[in-house]
Amino acid sequence: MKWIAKSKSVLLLVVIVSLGLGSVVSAKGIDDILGKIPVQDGGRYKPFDTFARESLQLVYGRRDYKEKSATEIVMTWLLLPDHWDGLEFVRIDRKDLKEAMGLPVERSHFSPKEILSSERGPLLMQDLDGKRKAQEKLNPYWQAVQTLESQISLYKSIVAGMAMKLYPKAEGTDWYTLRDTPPEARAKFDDITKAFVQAIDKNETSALEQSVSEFIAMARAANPATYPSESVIGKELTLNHFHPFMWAWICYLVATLLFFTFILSQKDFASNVGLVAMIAGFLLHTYGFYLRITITGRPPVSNMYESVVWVSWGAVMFSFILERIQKKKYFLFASGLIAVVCLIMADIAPTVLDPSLQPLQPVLRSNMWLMIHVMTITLSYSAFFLAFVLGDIGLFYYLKGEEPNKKTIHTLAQAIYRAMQVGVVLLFAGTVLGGVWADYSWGRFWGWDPKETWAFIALMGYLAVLHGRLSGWLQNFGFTVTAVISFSLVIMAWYGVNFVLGAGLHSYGFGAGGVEYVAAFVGVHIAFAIAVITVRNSRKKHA
Amino acid sequence: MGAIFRKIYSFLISLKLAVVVILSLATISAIGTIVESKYDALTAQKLVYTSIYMYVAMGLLIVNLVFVMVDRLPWKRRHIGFVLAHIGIIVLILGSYVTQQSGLDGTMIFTIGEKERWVSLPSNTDLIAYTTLDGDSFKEAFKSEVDFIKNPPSVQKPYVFNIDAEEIKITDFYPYALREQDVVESELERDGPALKFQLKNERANVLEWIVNDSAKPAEFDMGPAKVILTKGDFAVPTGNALVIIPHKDKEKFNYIVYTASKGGLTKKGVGKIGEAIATGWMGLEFRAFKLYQHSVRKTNYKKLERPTPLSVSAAKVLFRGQEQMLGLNSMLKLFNDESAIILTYGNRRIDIGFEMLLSHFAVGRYPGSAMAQSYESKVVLEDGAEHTISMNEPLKHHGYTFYQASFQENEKGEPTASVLSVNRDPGRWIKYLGTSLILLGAILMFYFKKKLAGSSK
Repeated sequence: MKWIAKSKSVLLLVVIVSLGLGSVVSAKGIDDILGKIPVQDGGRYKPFDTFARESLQLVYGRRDYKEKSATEIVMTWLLLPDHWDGLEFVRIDRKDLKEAMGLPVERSHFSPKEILSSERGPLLMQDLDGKRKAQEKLNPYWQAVQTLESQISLYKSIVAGMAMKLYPKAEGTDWYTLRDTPPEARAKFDDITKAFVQAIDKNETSALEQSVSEFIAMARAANPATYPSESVIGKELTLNHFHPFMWAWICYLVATLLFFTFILSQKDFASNVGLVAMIAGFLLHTYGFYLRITITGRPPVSNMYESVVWVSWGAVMFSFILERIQKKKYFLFASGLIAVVCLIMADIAPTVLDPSLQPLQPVLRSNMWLMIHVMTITLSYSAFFLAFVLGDIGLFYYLKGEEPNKKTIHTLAQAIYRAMQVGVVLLFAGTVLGGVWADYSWGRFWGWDPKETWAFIALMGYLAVLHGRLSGWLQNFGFTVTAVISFSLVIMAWYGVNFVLGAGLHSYGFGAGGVEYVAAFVGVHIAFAIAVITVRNSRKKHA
Repeated sequence: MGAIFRKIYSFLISLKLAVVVILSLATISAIGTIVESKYDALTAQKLVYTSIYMYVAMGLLIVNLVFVMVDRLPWKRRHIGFVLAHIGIIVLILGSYVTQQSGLDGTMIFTIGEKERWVSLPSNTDLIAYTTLDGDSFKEAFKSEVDFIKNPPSVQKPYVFNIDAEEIKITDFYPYALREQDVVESELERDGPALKFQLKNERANVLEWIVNDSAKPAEFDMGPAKVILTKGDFAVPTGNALVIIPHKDKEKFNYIVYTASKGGLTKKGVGKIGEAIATGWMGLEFRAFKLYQHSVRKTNYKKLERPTPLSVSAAKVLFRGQEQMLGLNSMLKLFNDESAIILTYGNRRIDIGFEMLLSHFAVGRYPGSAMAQSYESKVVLEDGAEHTISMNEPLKHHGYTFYQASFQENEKGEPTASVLSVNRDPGRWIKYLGTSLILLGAILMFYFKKKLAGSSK
């Protein structure tokens, strides 16, 4: 019987994975053909598809425009700049910036023409320049001014043929911008634009396909050493189009719902299918990592986006391991929740969690210690995250009724204890590895840098909790509550240092945004914990 | 008596104390990160991480750890993990103390092609005074380590010292100040003129000072045109130029306009302060705002609430009733009746005892961009051997380790100097020993706990 269930699971897995992959193989449109042209941009080689998506994301705020793909839009910027100059598609979010520019506040998008003809624009840019010269820290308003400046300058330089580098120079690693491209190659590129217009007009892409292959062949021949291989470009296109992390969270969502059903109803069917969906999600998740690693040639833990994806991966991995000790599906349910939340967040907030692939700062390059250090620390976050969600579930059972759920509550507290132990060992090991790395590359084992200090604070917090458990002060209830509350320290170390404190040597992972949501998340959980404490106390009084 | 002793003992071995100490370490550190985010790393280091509170918390931690271990005597097999982890923490803290007391952590800035033997320490500052009778030979008259961040001087509690019976007082300290160059009017005949002017057309708007502080005329060159300020003499310019010569009347000045395309002198006259003069070059209008017959440059320090990358600290010096500001790593001349005193306030500099030459420095960039990918310095030691120092590949020599930290570049983006971080850490192996013990102990502890949990079932 068990064997049948297992082979069924494998079949299901294949179906789920191939369903997702199907969307890539089919339909070879204009987008797919144009998208594969390599571009040199931002210190690396990327497919035109990525370049166009990133440009449109910056200027318009989305990776597609009215159902049209980014590649088509950016191509038409080149072809019809006069048309686009008058279209309202440059996104400005801040109301005070719109006011300062003298633009109508009720709109969210503006035409390049309106922005450039704003009388107050140049003064604003001059002030920004002054602030940059004085090396002042820019506040969110001035960061928005800076964003507007880069939106306009990116659009303008794409139109002027100065942003896109498509053709390698014969010597060195630098490429020609479109404007400086030698005449014969330029003529080949013009063939692409002609075929592009034809393709839109007649819905016939064979001429476009041919001109693109000819251009790529010519560019590769110009300097074969610097031209990226087809397979690397192909992998990035797969990452862009197939979007494995999205399919992963869909699988995780299905799994989480099924585990939830299992926990409520104890139906084995739900648990088995849930496990299959969970494994499918994990495989897709891993596949996405594999793509990112092979494209960039480094482990994917160098910015907030990558760490969010990695932490959720770690949580799922730990839950598979810990589930073997305690087969109650709480671990899988908790990690499924984490993975769904993290991956959806990574999908919907590209301005805060930037998914683009960036080259590394010199200090982070090719260093094994660093990678082990960062991955170990972030894996400890995974374990604490698990403990946190298990704590949430535990509090929920306390609310439901302590006596009837005594066994479940105890099981959950044990599960939290395991997750926390794993977390503490990893956090300590990771912090020490960070010290070893810092000593190795800077000669400084410990420097009270905010990132390492907060890792230390989180470690102290969890050590206090474990000692409290050891001494018997924290019984199951107190332990469950502290598992939830202590995670605030991890959030501070993980997110807060980069996004709230914004100081220190670890500044290569810095960003802005989302503070109010994260603060609300932490606040709601602390409030929940306090509410459960109050309810429990009043019940005890009445009992 | 015995009861009190037992009470103290049971407090010192209690888990309660352990948790309190752990939580206070966490709290102090958290405050440190907030101070760092609001001000800077040095301030957080001085006021929080090396504060008395931190030392007390660490001390209590050690006491607690020792007593907790003593209390468990005689140790059994299951105590191995516990004992190792706790000894590890004590060793780690002691290692850090050794590093702090006798380690060295500084920076060396090398100009490409030059020799250097001095290391600058960012967290130690010295106040040094030299005296001179003739202006050529200097004698060190006073030297003392000062820490104005931890112990800021004030009017009520100034930092006072004497040189040849003359009293010098430091009466105030700005942790963050912006150095500003200003031009002020002077009484002395030998000081040259200064001019604040504007050149403006539809596209450009320049507001500048020129100070004629040398024997030659002073020039402001904006590419297609020049403004020249002179006491009287000047060489006839070849390009577009506007020559300004002070007038007897303070409200007026003499001007001469040269235009290259029209073969030289095109306009001449007497201008008034505040009135526009058309130059005839691309619609550029000239306007003089201030003109001092005699002037000197003066350095001011503007006090800031928070640091910026350009701010420095500065101390207020009171000497013979006169207040002057002395910025970090700069000097101040104080004039006595017959001698002069040079006062310096700066980061401590240490002679490493040998010289190094930066023979070559290279920056590798990511393809097609200005982003640095890697950088490396080639240095020549006194024995003539060349070594490469790059990111993650330090050089060890005479007990010091040299790390590639960063570099400086000019406006064109060409590197001009390499910044090395220089380090000597006698506590390193103690700290490594401590952390290894903790890790080993923690794993053993969890291992034994699991076994215990298994046996109780």
